[in-house]
Amino acid sequence: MSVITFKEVTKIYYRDFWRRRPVKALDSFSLEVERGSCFAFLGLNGAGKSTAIRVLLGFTRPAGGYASILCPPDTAHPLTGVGFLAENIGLPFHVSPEFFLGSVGRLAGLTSSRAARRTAEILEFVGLSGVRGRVKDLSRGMRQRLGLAQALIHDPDLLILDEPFTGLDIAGRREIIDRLRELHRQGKTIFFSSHILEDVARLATRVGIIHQGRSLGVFGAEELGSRPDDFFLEKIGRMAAVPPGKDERLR
Amino acid sequence: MNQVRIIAAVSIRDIVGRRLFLVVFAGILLLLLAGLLVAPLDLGEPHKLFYDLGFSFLAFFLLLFVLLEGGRQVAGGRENGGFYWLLARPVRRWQVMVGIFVGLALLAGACLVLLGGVFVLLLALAGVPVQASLFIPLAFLYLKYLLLLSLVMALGTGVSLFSTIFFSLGLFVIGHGTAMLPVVAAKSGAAARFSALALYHLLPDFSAFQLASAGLHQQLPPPAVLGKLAVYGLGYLGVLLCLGCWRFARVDLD
Repeated sequence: MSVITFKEVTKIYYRDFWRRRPVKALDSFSLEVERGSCFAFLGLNGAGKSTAIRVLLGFTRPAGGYASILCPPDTAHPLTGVGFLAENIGLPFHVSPEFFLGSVGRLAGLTSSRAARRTAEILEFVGLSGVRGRVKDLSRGMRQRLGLAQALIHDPDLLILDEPFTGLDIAGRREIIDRLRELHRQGKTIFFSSHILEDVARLATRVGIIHQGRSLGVFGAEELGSRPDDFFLEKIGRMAAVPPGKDERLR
Repeated sequence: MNQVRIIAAVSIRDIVGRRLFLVVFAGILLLLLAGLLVAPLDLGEPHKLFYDLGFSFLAFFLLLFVLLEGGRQVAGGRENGGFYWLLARPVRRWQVMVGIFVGLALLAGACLVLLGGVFVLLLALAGVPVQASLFIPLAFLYLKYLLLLSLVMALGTGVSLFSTIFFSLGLFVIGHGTAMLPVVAAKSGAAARFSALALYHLLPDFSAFQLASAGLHQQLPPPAVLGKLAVYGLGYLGVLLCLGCWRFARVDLD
């Protein structure tokens, strides 16, 4: 069963105020993500990954088509069971991580006592337990972990993560991948975008590729093989687009 | 209602944790204390200078607070992705706007109570008789800046942080001359008259809320006029807040 559906989604941005220079960020983009999968969403910079996620979550409206999240019939709001981490998440800088997570938990429908318990659990889970001070005092990597924590605070069934490994060092990336694997084993559906193909190969069960706003298909993670970079470049046509000898001239 | 309360609490905690806010608050407090130095100066009326300065300092604090924090919370939030973590929850967009407004309004009110309390105390120390008529101008000062806050937030849903502050300040300054527009209309040609009257009915009249001198001289307008002024302020504020919510519900957060 598909938990995320994009159907012929088109999104157009305009480069100037007078709407004279349109740019198609998504061009009849279609994709389906199965429940229980760990789905990696791949694409070059500007391919339309973040735009697709923003359309999916209702942050921005498409010019055509639709994107939807399947939610249980008894939920009052479509995002009740969704956890989201944005690529550039603007956290409130001048509050403590505990206060922030507690507030997010209560916004997601947890009681105050449950939110406090989950805050302690989730800070431990993302490796931030014992951290003191305010959000602004945290390092880039720690803020990314806090961003992940706020996505997980209400124990959602579906995780949507836009570049979750940004700002993390190698050890941090590995630790977060292990955590996400653990969540996937628990039955969560994870939909994430990433540039780091090594991490994608380690974590994903399915891979979807977007290029210039269009879907290039969905593949099994095993198809990435031992050289995921080559697989990806071949799919977006970059391998074929570089004529023989071009590398030499560039050099 | 719960969502609004939580968002208001986050806004308040985020602002109170800012060093800039504390510095400005402490600075205004010092200015109020420093006003005692000029209290003995008599410019025709005893303590008039100290009284006017105190009101100006309170108004200056509210102006800075409303422009900077109102702009940062809405326009700044749109620019730096500050709404993503909020809107990825079961939260309606109008709840975000109302929550931010309530948070800022409560904090501005609390600051005004503290600073206003210090001001009234200093007035009493300077020998000015403290009467109930002093508190009415303070209440209308608060209403005036809540009106500006709703304007800042409504503008912040559509333009950048810089433009929000720039245009809000511009409208605030122009809004102090709104009462003059009928006079301009009476002396103008048909087209200019129409424009002046249209602007008169469209723009908020901020000057109507300036009751400081009237309060000092115990010459406040009658309660019926004050009531109409309060209804005007709250009504205009409500319209702007609804406009802001309506706009924010439709804006693309790219």
